[in-house]
Amino acid sequence: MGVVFAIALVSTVTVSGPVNAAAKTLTVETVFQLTSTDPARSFEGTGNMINRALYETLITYKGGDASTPVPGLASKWTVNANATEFTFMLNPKAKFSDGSKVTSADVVFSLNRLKNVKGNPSSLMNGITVSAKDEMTVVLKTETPQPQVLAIATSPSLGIVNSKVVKANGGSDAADAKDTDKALEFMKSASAGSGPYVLKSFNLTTEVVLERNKKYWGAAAGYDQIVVRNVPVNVQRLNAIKGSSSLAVDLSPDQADGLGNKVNVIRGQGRAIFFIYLSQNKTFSAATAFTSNAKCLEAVRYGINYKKIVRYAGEGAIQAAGLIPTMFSGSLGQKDAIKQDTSRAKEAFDACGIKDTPVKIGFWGDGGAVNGIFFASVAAMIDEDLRALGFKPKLEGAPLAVSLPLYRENKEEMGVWLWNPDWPDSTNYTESFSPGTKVGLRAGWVKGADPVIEELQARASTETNPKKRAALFRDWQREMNKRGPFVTLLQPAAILVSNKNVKGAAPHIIWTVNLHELKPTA
Amino acid sequence: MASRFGNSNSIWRQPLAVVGIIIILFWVFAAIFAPLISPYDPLSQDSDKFLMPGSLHWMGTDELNRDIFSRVIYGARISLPYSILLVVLSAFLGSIIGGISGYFGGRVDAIIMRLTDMFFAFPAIVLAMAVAAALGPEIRNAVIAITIVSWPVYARLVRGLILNAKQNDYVTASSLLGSSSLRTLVVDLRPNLAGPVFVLASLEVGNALLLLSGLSFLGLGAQPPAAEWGSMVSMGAVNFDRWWVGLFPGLAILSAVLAFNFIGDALRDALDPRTAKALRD
Amino acid sequence: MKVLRGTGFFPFIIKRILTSLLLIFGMTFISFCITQLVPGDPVAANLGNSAYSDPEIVAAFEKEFGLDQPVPVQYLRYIQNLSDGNLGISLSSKRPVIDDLREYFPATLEIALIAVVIAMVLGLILGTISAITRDRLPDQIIRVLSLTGVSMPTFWTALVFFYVFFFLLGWSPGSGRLDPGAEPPPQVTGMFTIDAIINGDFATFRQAFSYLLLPAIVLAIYALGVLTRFTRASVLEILGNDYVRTARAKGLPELTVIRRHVLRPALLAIITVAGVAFASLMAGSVLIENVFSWPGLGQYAYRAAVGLDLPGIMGVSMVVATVYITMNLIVDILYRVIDPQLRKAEQ
Repeated sequence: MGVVFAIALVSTVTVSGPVNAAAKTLTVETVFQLTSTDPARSFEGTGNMINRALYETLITYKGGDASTPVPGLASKWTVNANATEFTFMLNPKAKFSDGSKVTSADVVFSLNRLKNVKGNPSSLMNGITVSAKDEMTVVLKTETPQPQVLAIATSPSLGIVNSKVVKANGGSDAADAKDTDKALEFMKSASAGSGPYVLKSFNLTTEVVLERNKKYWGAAAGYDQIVVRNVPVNVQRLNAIKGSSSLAVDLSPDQADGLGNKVNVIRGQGRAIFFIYLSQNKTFSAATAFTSNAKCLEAVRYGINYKKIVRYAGEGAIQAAGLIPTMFSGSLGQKDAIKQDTSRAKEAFDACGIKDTPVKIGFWGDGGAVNGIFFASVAAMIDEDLRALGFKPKLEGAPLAVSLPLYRENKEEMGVWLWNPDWPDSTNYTESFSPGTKVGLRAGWVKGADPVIEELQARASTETNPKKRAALFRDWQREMNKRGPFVTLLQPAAILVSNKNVKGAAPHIIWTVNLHELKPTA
Repeated sequence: MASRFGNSNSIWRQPLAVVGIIIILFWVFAAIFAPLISPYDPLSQDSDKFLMPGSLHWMGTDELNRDIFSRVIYGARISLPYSILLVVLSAFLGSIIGGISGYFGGRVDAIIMRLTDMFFAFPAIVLAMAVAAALGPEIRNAVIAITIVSWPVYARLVRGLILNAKQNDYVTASSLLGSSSLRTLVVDLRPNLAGPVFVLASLEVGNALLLLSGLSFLGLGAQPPAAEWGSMVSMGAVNFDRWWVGLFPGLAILSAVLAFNFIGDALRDALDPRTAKALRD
Repeated sequence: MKVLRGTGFFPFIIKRILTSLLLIFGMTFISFCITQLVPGDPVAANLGNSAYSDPEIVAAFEKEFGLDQPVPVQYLRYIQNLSDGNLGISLSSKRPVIDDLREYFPATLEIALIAVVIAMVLGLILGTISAITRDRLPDQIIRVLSLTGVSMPTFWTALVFFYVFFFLLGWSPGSGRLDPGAEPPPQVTGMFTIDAIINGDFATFRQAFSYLLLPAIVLAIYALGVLTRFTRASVLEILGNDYVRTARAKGLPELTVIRRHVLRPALLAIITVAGVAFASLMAGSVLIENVFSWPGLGQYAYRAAVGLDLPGIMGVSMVVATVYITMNLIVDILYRVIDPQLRKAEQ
C-alpha cells in the first residue's frame, strides 16, 4: 500500500516558489487572529496587519518605529498647549482606490463610525470628538488633556474609509450606528481605503488576498499580490526552513533557531507583558483570604525564578521590570527588576500563614500561546517555584471561553495573563492597572486601596511635558512593584522571519510587520 | 466464566494474546514502580532544553528540559488507570440501561433504544470536546465526557443478550418459582452477561485510551505539568523537527492500545460462536 | 396513516424516514441540554479586553446573538429557525452557521470520500485474502497489520506522516487545500477536485488532489483496519455455511463459489459497516484536520467546542448525525433491495 500511495503522491506534486516570475506575490504566514477587515470593528493582530496595507491613518510610523509620528493622510498637524485640541491638515494629493479625493468629510465619517458602531475598538475614541474645520482640515478635541491622542491616531482602527462608497453599501456613522450600520459584509469583500493595496478576497479561516492598488497616490506598492495565510506555528517553521514562504511572524526564539540560509531572522521586542496576579478580594475563597495579604504577595514576588522563565522564553526575551514595556515612555530598566530572593520569600510565606490551603492558578490552557510562549509552560514553572516555598498551587488552565470570564470577573485566586497595549502610550497602563481600574478590579483591587499609586496615576494622565511624564510613569511602576498585586514576569521577543528575497521587513508593535513597505529584492 | 468460553485453553495458544499480556504487565509494572525505575523526576525542570536522545537522557528532553523517558514511564500512571476507569463506568452505565431496556421490553425498550440510536449517531468527539471544554479541561472531566458518549455500545449488547436469554427456559422457570423480576435479572442472568460484557470492555479499553489521549492532545484532557502521553504528543506537534518529543509518547500509546486489542481479540475468539457474533454486531 | 401500518417495502421506507427525522430532532435537544448545563461565557471569549468592559458593546453582542433571553426561549427560537432552514449565527465566525457548514463540510467530505474508497477497496481485498488463507502466513501478517491500524493514535500518525512525507521527503505539498493565493474553482459542490473537473480545469484538479491525498490516507488507516477485520470475519463465517459447502460438493469451481456465495453476502454486511465507518470518518477527522490545518468540519467543530459556540456545535452535530442516519437508511434499503432472499431468511 505504501508503494501505491507513494506513486500517487509523487505524480501529483506541484512546486511553487514564493515569488512567481509572472506576478510578484508575497506570502505571509501567521496564526489568524481575525474577525474582519472593517477598521471600525477590527482590533486583533492579523486585522491590524492587513488593515495597515489597505487603509491609511492621519499620521503613522515608519518602519519599526513606534514613537515619532510621520505624515500619513495628514501632511501637517498642530497640538495646542493643553493637549486638548489636535488639528490635522490633509494632504491634497491623497486619493482613495477609486480615484476620489480624501476629504475631511471622510475623516469625520470614519472616526464617528468607529465610535458609534460600538465594535471592539470603539473605546479608542472615548472622550474624543472630531469635526471638520474646512474641506482639508480636521480637528480632534478632548475635554481633559490627552497627549496620547497622537498615538491613538496611528492605530489602523482609525483608518480612513471612503465615506461615499461605505455609505452606499449600508454604512453609517450616526449615533445609532451599532444597529443601523450594515456595511460589514461589504467590507469583507472589498476595501474602501487609500492604501497601497486593496482587498481581493477574504476567508476567515484560510487566507486573505490583497492586490496592488493601481490608483495609489504614493510610491507604488512592491508586490502585485499579498497572500496572508492562516498557518500554525510549527508549519511556519517548516516552511521557513524549506524557503517556501516569504514571511513568518509567529515564531518564538526557539523556533527561529536553525532555520537555515534561506531566511533572515529579525529580532525585536514584543509588546506583551506577562504577569501573575494575586486576588485582593478577601472574601472570595479560603485562599484569597491569604492572597490578599501583603506577606503572601511578597512571598510570590521574591520567590519566582525569573531567570528560568526568561531563559524558557528564548533569546531576546527580557524580564519585565515593570508593567510598561520597553518601547514606551517611562519604562523601567533592568536594574529596577525584582530579583529572586528565596530566603526573603520563605520568611514572607511563613508570615503569610496560608500553609496548606490550596490556591488555584487560572490561565489560558488548551494550547494558548503568545509569541511562542505557552501560558501552560509559564504556569508550570511558577507552580514549581511556589511549591518550593511551601505553597500548594493547583493549575486550572482552560480554553479562553471558560478561563477568560473568570479572570475578567474577578473570580480567580491567582492568574497568569498578559496585557497588550490598546494604544501605544504608557497611560494605557496607568489607566488600566491602578486600583479601581479595569485590570485592577479583575484582581479585586478597588479604588482607594492605594492613595499613593492613585495620585501618581492622576498626575500622569494630565501631564503634558514629556520628561515629567516619563518620571511619573517610572515612579508609578516602582510603587506598583512594592505593593501592587501584579508580579510582572516577562516581555517576550518578537521575531520576524523573512525570506531573503524580501526587502525592508521590520517588526512593528501595532501592525506586526510593515506589509505596505515591503519590496522584492531582485 | 469458564463455561461461557468455548475452549478456554485457546487463549493461551494465541501468541498475540501472550504478547499483549506481557506488554500490559510491563506498563502496569512501570506505573506501579515509576519512582523506582525513572532516572529523573518527571516534573523537574532545568535550563537546557530539547536535548536529543543520548546516554544521559534515553529519549531526550522536552521544552522545559524534563526527561522524556521518565515522563513516558510516569504517563502509564495516568493513561492506564483512567482508561480502565472509563471502560468500567461506561460498561456499568450501559449495562444498566441495556438491562432495563431488555428486561422490561415494550415501550420502555423502544424509548431507550431510540435514545441509544441518538447517541450512536452523535459525533462522539464533538460532544466530548464541548463537555470537556465547558466543565474545565481536566482528566477527570474528560473521563466524564467520554463516558457520556461511550455507554451505548454496552447497552445494545446487554439488551441483545437479555432478549436471547429471555427465550431460555430457566428464566421462565425462575419466575414461575416466584423470584421477583429484579432477582431474576441480577442473579440468574448475571453469569450470562458478565462474560460478554467483560470481553466487550476489553475490546473497548484500547478505544478509551485513544479517545482520552486524543482529548488531551487537543488540550482538553490532562493538564500540565502532568505527564500524560496525549499532551506530550501535542508538544511534539508544536516542535516538529524535534522529533523525539512526540515520537516516544505516541509509541507508548500505540503499544498499550495494541496490547489491549490483542488480548481483547483473543478473549473474543475464545468465546462460543453465538456470543462472539453478538459482540461483533 | 394507513400506509404506516403496512409491512411492505414502501411503508418501511416511510417509517424509517420518520424515525430518522425524530432522531435528528432528539439530537438537537440533547446537544442543547448538554451545552447549557456547563459553565463558560462565549461573550467574553469573543470580545476584546476593552470591549468587554463596555456594557454597551456587551449588550449589543448579546442582543445580536439572542444570548440575553432565558434558556428555554433560546431553544425554542433555535427550533423555530431550524424549520426555516436557519441554523443561527456562529459566535466565533459571526456569520450564519449554514454558511460555515457550506464552506467546511465539503472539505471534510472530500477527504472522507477518498478515505472510504481506499478503505473499502483495500479492506475487501485484504480481508478476503486473510480469510481464505486462514491461519497461514498471509493471514497472520494481515491480522497484525490491521490490528495495528486500529490501534494507532490518529493524531500521532498524522504527525509522523506529515513530518516524513512533507518535511523530510517533500512529496506532499504541505498544509491547506491549494497553493497560496490560488483561486478555487467556481463553487458547485464545494469539493475542489470535483469542481475543478466540472470546470475542465485539470491543473487545479491535480493541485487540489495532491493536497488532500495525505490527510485522506491517514484518515483511511483506521477504517481500513476495521474493514479488513470485519471482512475477514464475515467471509470466514460465510465460508462455513452450508450452502457454500453444498456448492463445493456439487463441484462448482472455487472462483464461482467465492464470487456467488461468499462475496455477495459478505458485500452486504460490509456495506453496513462501511456506512457506519463513513460517518465515523466525518467525526474522526477532528484530529487529522488539526494536524494538517485542513479547513473542514473537524476544525470547525474544535473551534466551536472551545469557544462554547452553541449554534456552531449544534450545526456540526446535526450534519454528522444526518450523514450517519442517512447512511444507515441507505444501507438498510440497499440490504433489502439487493438480496430479497436474505430478507426472507431474516423473517
